[in-house]
Amino acid sequence: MVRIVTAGPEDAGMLACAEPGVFAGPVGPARAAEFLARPGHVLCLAVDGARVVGQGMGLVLHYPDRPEQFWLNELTVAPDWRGRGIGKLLAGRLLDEGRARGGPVIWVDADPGNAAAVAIYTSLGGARSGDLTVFEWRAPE
Amino acid sequence: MTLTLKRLGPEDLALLLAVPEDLLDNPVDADQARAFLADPGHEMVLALMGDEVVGFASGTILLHPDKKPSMFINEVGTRDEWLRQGIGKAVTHRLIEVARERGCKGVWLGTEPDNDAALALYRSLQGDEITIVGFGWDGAFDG
Repeated sequence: MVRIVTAGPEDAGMLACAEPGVFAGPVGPARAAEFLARPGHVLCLAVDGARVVGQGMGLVLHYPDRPEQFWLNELTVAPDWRGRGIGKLLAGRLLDEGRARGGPVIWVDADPGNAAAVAIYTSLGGARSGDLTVFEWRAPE
Repeated sequence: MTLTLKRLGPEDLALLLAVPEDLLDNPVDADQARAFLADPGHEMVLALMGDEVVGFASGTILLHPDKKPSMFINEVGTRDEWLRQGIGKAVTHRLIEVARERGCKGVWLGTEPDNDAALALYRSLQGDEITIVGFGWDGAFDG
């Protein structure tokens, strides 16, 4: 039985036990602690027994001239746990957390070729935007 | 007059409250501005020509449990009468520098694919370019 939890500062140790594929890189204790202590940052975990099998993240965006928005920026389920509705449960919890913390406006972005993500956001009632062009500047290694 | 770039901190509330009305989409709200400046993950760079604020760029730093921080550049704007003078490029470049100073690896932003001026500006800064779609709830795309 998979349950969804919203992580607090006391949960940093649990992140290190995540199944392969839940996080893109190794979870660093200092980075995890800083994330969990930062106001406006939210991490929801899908937990199966003692295993962390999925995660979703979001944060509050502030503006000087209008109300804040809550932004879902990651949603990942470990490969062996996909196809069971866990991503939708995580996204639904993040919507709840965002509405509670970040005001009424919530958004997320996705690779249009990611059918699983598109299906989840559509099933949760999200309005789809037109195509957006994203630019990224990455620091050299 | 020369262009100067100013990175705002919590002590700059008065300056932010006094920016020209046509700089942002809406008039600056004191409570929202204070929350913006007080949040350690939010950054804003103003472009000033002499004493006059003519442009800005703002961004939010995202922490990650498993990788270095990144910055989402949320807004870039230049007042109409100061367009096409390199101000948008200057504030965007400075904000990317701020992100690097704060340890961010990735810096990114989104724009509409028919916004030729924005595309030209960001291409001039030699970013990688991809296409995505957004999903919004509660009127996220209304304004």
